[in-house]
Amino acid sequence: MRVTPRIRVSRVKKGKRRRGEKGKAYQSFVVGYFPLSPFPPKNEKGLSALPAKTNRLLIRVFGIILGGLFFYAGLQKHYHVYEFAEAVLAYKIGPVWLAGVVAAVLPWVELITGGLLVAGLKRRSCLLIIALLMASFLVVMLVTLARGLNIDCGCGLFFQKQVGLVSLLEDLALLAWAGGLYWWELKTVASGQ
Amino acid sequence: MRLRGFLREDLAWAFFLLILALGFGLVKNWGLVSLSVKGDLAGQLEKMRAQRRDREFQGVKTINLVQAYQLFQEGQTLFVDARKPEEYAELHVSGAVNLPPSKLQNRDNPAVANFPKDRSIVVYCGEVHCDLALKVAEKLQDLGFTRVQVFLGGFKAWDDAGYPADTSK
Repeated sequence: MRVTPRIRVSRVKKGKRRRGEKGKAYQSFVVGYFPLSPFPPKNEKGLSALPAKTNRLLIRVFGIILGGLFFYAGLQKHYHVYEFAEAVLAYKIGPVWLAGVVAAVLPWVELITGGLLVAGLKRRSCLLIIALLMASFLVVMLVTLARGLNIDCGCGLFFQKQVGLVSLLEDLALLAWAGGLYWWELKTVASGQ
Repeated sequence: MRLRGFLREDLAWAFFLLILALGFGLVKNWGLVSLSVKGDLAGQLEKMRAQRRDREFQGVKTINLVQAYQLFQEGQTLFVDARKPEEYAELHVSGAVNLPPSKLQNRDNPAVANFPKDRSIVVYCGEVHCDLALKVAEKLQDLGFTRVQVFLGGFKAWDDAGYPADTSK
C-alpha cells in the first residue's frame, strides 16, 4: 500500500520533466531559427542544433536556390556575351584585353558552379568560388562608386541596375549566403553529422 | 585539424573548377577573346551598339557634339536631360529641363504638356553608352513631338568640351 503511491508520484514527475525538456528544445529552435537565414541555430558545441536530416535538407535547399541563381545569371551572360563585355569594359579597370577575357570566362564560372551546386556535386568548392567572386565584385563596386562612375552593374540577374546601394546590398547578401552556407556545411561534415 | 583537411581539399577542387571554367570560356568565346587581345574589342562593341540602336530605336534622329552646340547657340532648341534628378541637379546643359523616363509615364504631365509639339528638342543622357536619351526621345515622339533629336555623346562629351553648364545646387 505504501509502494504504489510512491511509484505513481515518480512517474508523474518523470513525465513532467520530459515534457518540460521537449518544450524547452522546441522553444529554443523556434526562437533561434530564422527560416531564410543561412545560419542554423547552434547547440552548446557550436554545431547546428537541428536534427541531422533537417540539417542536410536545409543545406541542400539553400545550395540549390543559390546555385539556380548563379546558373541563371551565367546563362544570361553567356547568351549576351558582347553586352556583358561592354558592361565589364565600362568599369574601366585593367587593360581592354583583360575585360574581354573576364567577359568570356566569368559566365562559365557561374554556369559550372551554379550547375554543380544544383546537382549537389562538389558543393563546398562551388560555395568557396561564389564567395570569392562576390568578395572581388564587392571591391570592384566600391572602387567604381569611389570613382563616381554611373554604370550598369552587369550582374545578369532579373533586372538591370546601376552600381549603387541596391547592387552592393545584393552582393553582400550573396556573399553572406555563400560564406555562411560553406561554413555550416563544413562544420556539419567535420562533425560527422 | 579535420577542418583544415577539408578546407585544403575544397580549395584544390575550387582551383580545378576555375581552370575548367577558364578552358570552357576561352574555347567557347574565342572570337571575343581574340578581338580583345588584338585591341579591336572597343571598335567591335561600338559597331554592335550602333546596330542594336538602329534596330531598337528606328526613326529617332541623332546628332553629334558640333551640331548640338550649334543648336544651343541658336537658342531656339529645348535641351532635355534624361538622367536621374540627382545627376541633373549636380550639373546639366545650361537651360536644360530634366525629363527622366519615369516622368513621361503620364501623358498629361505638365512637364511636357506645355511645350508646342513642333518645338525643336534635343535629348541627351550621361555618356555615349547610355540608352536613356533614345528611350525618352522615342516616348516624346509617341506623344506627338515632331522635331526630336538625340545627342548621343551625352553630358560627358558636352562637359569635356567645356560648353556652358549649370548646377541646381
